[in-house]
Amino acid sequence: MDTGSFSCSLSDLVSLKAERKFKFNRSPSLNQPYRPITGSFSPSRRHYFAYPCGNSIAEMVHIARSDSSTDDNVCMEFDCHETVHSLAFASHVSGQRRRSSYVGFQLFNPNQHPSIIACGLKSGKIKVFDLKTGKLVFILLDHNEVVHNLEFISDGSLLLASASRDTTVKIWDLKDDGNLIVTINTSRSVHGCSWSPQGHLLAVVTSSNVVTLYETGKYSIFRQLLGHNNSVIACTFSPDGGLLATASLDTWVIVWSVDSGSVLLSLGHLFPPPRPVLASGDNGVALTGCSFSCDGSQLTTTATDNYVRVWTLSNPSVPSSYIHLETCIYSLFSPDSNHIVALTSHGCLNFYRNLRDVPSLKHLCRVVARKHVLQPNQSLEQLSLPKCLKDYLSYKTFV
Amino acid sequence: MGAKMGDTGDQVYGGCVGVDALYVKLISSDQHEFYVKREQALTSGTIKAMLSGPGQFAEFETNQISFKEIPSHVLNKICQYFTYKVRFTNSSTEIPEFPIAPEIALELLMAANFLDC
Repeated sequence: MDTGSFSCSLSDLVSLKAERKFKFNRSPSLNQPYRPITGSFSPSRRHYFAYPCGNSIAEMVHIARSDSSTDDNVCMEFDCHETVHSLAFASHVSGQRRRSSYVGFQLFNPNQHPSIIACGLKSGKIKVFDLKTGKLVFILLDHNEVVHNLEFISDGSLLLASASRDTTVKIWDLKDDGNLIVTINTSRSVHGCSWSPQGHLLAVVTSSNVVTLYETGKYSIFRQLLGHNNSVIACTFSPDGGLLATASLDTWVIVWSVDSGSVLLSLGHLFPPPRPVLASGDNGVALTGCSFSCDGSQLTTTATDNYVRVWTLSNPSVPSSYIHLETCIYSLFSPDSNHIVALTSHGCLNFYRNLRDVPSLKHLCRVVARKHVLQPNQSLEQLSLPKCLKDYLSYKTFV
Repeated sequence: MGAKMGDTGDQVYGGCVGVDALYVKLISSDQHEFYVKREQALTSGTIKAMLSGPGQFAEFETNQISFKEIPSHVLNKICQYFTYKVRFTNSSTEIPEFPIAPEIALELLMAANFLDC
């Protein structure tokens, strides 16, 4: 019984069973401590998953097949000649451009390469490949050190944000031939960055305790979120843009309400929880990542104590289920949230069946209203709703 | 499941009358009547309270509830949610997405808040 990692007995929680396991001959290059390796689902064709495995190669696997043989499922390999640290998929939406610059001649035609994958490398280069042919399309050169995180904006306009250890976040416009638009300077090594789903905010987490939100017009600081006691490793927005989850080395995952900037939930991973003095140092348990489900009602957190915890946010006191996987370094929900993918440092890729509850109708309405009805900067005051519903919509409370 | 073949070949469903009736009737503000299974309607905390016992609510007697502020396009979606919830609660199958049109999202939110579901 592992009372150190859970606040209740493990037998009270549900353990998820692996549905499918892939084992690859090449093991992913293992992280120096607390540096997560990322993987990504392709947004357009939902059955592909790509992740960096060792030997400088990023592999893309087809996960719809049910047999668990290994190399048959690998459909494409991207040879980057250097250790890959981060990955992102994108497919462009024609007509969506973020910058209205007049361009006389363009080298990169998005219509010829409808789906692309970007790989962030150890030296700071970013290589962009075409998914259909597997050929290299671009190399983006500007970072001096390893690129920890890459993320494309979700409206299809092919803006890429890259977070690097050289203390900068750079925004590239791939529809403009990979033009570097802006460099955001922070003072510390940047661990992760995340676009909000409507594209109006960019969250940046560095090795300082502060989470910074930038607005995407002029890239000025919109808000700073204080609450962690140690470096923040990863951040991710919920699909309706109302919540931001950040995972830190102080053993807490904090879920923030984006509209108000306040802490909504704190999820603990070490019991009894470390006091702030101890939380700012090495606790032996580090969080490497977090991921929201497609309707924003569940969150997975990956920690270095070999557990992936699945939390149902309407009842956050204990995780609703967990996965025990040795050396697990990354976990992610599938796009329909019926499966959870977990990646280990020994080259295992496991798919688990997720146990979900039907979310309440109020929550489903909130997600649809935030995604499709509310404009990002619209004040909720203008709506003719009772106050308790306005608070509910702006995530002042989860339930 | 509450349907039996009558002599003429028409299907007859369980009724809406009496304390142990299989169905209840929900009436929208524009007078549309929705017959839903009692078990599914009990998903809503408010409806459950209205139907559960003698005392404050006359609905207990008649098994029908009138919603004077909920229009039919919203009440229709609510009945679909009842079916979705009962079908997929405690089920091991994959749960599909529940579609909600953006046009009705805010009205549906207010109704769901009132109905506590």
